[in-house]
Amino acid sequence: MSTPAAGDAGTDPTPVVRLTNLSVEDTWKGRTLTDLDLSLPPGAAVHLSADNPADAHLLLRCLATLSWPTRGRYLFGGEELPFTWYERLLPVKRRIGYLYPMAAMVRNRTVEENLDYQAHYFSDTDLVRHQGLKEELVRAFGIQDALPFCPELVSAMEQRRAIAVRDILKEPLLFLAEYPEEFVGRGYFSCFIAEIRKVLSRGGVFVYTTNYRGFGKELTPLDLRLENGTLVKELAP
Amino acid sequence: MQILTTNPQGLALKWIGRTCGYVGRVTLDFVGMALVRAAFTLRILTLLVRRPADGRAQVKRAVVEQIYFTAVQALPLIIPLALLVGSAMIIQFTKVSGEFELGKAAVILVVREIGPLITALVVILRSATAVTAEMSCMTVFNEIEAMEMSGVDPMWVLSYSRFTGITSAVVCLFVVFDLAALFGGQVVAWATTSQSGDIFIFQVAKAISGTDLVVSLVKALLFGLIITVVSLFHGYTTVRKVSRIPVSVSRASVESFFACMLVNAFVSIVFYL
Repeated sequence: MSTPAAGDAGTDPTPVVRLTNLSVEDTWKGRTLTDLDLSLPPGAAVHLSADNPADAHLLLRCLATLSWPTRGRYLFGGEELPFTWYERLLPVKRRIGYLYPMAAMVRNRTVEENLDYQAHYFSDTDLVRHQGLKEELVRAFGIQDALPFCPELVSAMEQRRAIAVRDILKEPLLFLAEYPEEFVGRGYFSCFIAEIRKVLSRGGVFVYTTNYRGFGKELTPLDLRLENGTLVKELAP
Repeated sequence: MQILTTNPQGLALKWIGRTCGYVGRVTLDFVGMALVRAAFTLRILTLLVRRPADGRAQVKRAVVEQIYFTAVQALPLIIPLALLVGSAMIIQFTKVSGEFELGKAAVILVVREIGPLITALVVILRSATAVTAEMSCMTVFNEIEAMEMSGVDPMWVLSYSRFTGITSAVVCLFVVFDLAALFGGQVVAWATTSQSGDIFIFQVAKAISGTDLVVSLVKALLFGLIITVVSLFHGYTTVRKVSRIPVSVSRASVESFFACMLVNAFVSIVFYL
């Protein structure tokens, strides 16, 4: 397949993500993805489906640099990622938002501390801007009451929405989401989609899997399907 | 193969082969285990030199919290323990030596050998178990991964801070233990023997040498390093099951104590033999 057209803000011709002949393995589950060729231009929304959900999970983990490829190249923003030393991947991870079923918050900190953790960790953060954005998102996703408590003391849905807010606060270049409907709930779909639109308008990419048929249709997503451990509908370089 | 299984010589050869294989596997496992721990230690030690610019406030907070937990909160335990140990040693030694050179005995037993080991034991019981349990939980419940996904380096924020905090705490606790134990010894010597308290202190001052202080510091630093590295290592490598957390805690505490005993003996041999 030819490379799809970039989104509205896709003035930068460099793909945000480019995989070339990439293979990745999940030794625990015995799943392997092979010969993945993929190019995701700025502003693209991608709906990922798979014959086995574990394969989609593995691909998203690989895109999030949590599972390291055994072969091939992964270019993020035009730069090849060095899968030899985890420290060199940390600046990349900082630019990737990833909602997945096992996503967690640090339990011995409050929800608010969790939301602030990244901003306070990096010395180059504009804290005033972060604070404003945080307050806006907290209101939009209805987690004001959860802020002073540890994650275990708030409801599961509030905790999941807080995780979504934490990842949106990163203002990621690549936003990955597994079943985002389970994170935000139907009541907050429109807020979430609005935030995703902002990511796309900044030249970011949104890749998601979903069980909810109508989710993300307004983003006019490209379809990507994994079958037998490889991509059958490729967004080829 | 038929000859090997029926012939006595063949059976012997088979047994030797199996034994050699077993010894080889155990040796390789041990070397592999030691290398992995050495690499992990090196990663923590490189942070001492590299000191990343980001996250220093979080690291400072974590170091202070760790020192508070490991050293300050342990004082109500370690001081009475040191007084008891110091007193008991002097009571026993007065019976053996007949009140002769009690101070020297206190230095040899308390400062050189017993002090470091009991301090290490207290830190292992309180902090190593706690750190391993905390890290194991963080690993099992994906909190480490969450930190990584934020671009935060867990080795810097979690490992380095605990290493610095625990090692500093061990050194401080060791000084407190020695002082309290010597004080306990002096009180017992004054109360149960005919010699005055001043003589005991004079004997201690005469017996203690620069080597003793250096050895004590070396032992405290090494114990701090061992306890931290072993606890963190077991915490990070916990298999992702809740039921494995107690196993990791148990292994970390036993391994830490055994390693501390080995290092204690090794340092004593190097400096005193």
